[in-house]
Amino acid sequence: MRSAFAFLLLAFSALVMAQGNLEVNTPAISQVKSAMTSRHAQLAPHYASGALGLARDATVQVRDANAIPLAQRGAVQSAVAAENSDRATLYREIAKANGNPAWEADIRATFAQRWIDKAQPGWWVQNAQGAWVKK
Amino acid sequence: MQPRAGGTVLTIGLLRVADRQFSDLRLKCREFKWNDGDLRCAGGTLKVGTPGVLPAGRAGDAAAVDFHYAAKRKLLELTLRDVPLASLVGAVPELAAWQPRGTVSGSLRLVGSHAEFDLVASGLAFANAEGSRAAEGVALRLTGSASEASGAWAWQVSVDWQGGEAFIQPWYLKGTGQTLVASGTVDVDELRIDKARFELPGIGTLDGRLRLDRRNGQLAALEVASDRWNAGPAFEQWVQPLLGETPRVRPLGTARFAFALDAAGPRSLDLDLDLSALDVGEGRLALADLRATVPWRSEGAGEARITSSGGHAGDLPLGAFAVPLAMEGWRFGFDRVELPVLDGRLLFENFAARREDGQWHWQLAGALYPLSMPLLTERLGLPRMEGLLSATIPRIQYEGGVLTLDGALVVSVFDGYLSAAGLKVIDPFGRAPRLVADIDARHLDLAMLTNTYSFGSITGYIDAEVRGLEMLGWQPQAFAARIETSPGDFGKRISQRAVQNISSLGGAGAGAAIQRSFLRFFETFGYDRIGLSCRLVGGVCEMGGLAETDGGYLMVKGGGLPALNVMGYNRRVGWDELVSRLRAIAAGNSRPVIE
Repeated sequence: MRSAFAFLLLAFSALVMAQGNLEVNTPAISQVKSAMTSRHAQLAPHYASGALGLARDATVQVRDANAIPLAQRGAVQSAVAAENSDRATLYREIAKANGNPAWEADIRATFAQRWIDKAQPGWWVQNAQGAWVKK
Repeated sequence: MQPRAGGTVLTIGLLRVADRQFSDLRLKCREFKWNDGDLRCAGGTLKVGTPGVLPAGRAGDAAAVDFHYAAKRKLLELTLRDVPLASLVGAVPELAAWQPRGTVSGSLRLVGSHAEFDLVASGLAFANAEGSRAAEGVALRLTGSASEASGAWAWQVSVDWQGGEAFIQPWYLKGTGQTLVASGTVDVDELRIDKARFELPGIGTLDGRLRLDRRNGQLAALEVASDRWNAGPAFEQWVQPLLGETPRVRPLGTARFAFALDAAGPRSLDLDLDLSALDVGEGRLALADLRATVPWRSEGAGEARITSSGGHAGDLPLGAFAVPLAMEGWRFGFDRVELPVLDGRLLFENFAARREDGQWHWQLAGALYPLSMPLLTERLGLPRMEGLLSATIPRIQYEGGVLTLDGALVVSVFDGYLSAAGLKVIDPFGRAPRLVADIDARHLDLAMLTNTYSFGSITGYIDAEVRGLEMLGWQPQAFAARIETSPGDFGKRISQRAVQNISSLGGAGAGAAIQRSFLRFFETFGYDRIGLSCRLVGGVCEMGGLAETDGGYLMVKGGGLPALNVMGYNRRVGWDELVSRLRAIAAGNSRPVIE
């Protein structure tokens, strides 16, 4: 659990891009981050099992739904959909808060790399060729 | 056929049943009798497989069977004993993708063109590659029969699901004795279910009929009708999974529904809801005695009626209401609905909705008849405020995922009014609704606003404007706000406590200064004007006041005797910090303060 929070904290930690500030916080960004942090506890076991992976487009993807127990499968899929919607909001709002909405794609790419860098050993991440590899 | 020690092996190169071919069948029998076209095999094992086509180890699995064939009577009997489903993959290659596991026992009997079967599956498991359909540990019994006449099969089947679990996206189901009894016909053109009945323990029964066009795979007609379902478990099991990550809805009572659709789309829906209680989001919204009767037809008019004896929305009590909803196809509307809220009433008028090209468009107008502010603030756990709250809501439209207010929303409050113009909510029902508006307030009575607040007391009136307000997920993103004393002639006094609180917003200084000077002997001071501004950008409030001064800005310009200027020094305050300062002030003031 602690390491899970560390994952999020590291991912959100101060990082100043060449042009922009990824750490910028507006009330909406804080709200999205807090929703993502509380959702992480639900998703973390499924990163570890390999059911979910961190995709190169900075989203979470269901790699292997069959690895999720049947009773949780629907809820995990809803959580993944909500997570990706929150992530899209996050990237867009960080770009806007930097006063430059056109940076959204760059911010997304930076986050994608950061999520993958901070993933724990054993989690699945998508490499530049689109293949899933275990960290 | 080769008689061998310990048994006989029957090899069939190619077997054709209906439009299906089975190749390389090998039946090995412990006891084998063949007498005048009557063929019996007991204690047999059956292998089906086309080597090289199916995955290794699957096709070769053998099934334990007894087999009887009587040519004269056109009789075929097959008994299966704990046959691993994996072994059937050889016979039915389509099953391979489902990775079936578990065993099946039972009998199949074919006489002429009549077939009967009685099968029990246990430990049944399957999963498709996407994981969208899967089952584990399923125990079920499947019985049925089918007869062929001139190219069409008349069939009937019954399924009794005794245990295990299944996931059929997005639904998760547990086998608790659900049954299905169905009958119908099938030919090359069409599959018909003339009668189907589901019994769902703890929920109710569902009857249905269906016609499927086999040539194009399209649903030609479907009709279902429920009995009085137990609404709580029905909603939890069947509806909630469709809603995704949203607040939990818990109805208590019964629901009966029937709907019909054909190739063109939905034809009719009848819903009869009788709930003693409905809870949304663990108490965020609760309604008692919610009843709804909805007789909807895709062609033709009707009226739905929805009533409730009231409940609460958050901490606000709601009174009884009735919604008479006129329906005509995909058009809906009502003239007037009144919802009692606290001691006031919320009025909705001229509601009209329509669905076109898969999109909803709707509009409505309304008003809020006076609510007492002392009651409202008490309910909301806010410091007590005086006066009445009322509002007029001009036309609200919803189109293309955007909620737009035509004209200005005017709220009468604190003896003045507040008006919101250009109000738009983008994606109001999504995860991150975005709101934009310009707000103006005129002539708000500061005494009403502050008197019983622990903010300290200020007499006089203020005007406020918020330009370019933008909220995301109901959190402010950007605005330029300004508060200033209203023009006009009226008494203007500010208490020592209010001075301290105002100055704490703009950075320390004035409060401490009062404490150290002779001014501490005065409880109130005269003032000429109060002015504060905040431009919210990137989570930071850029503060300003009435005028720039040395190193700061003027927030309160003194006037009369004794006069006192209050300055602000913090130019940039984090929005979160500003909110927590205001909270601290409100919290400090909700307790009696002895000065």
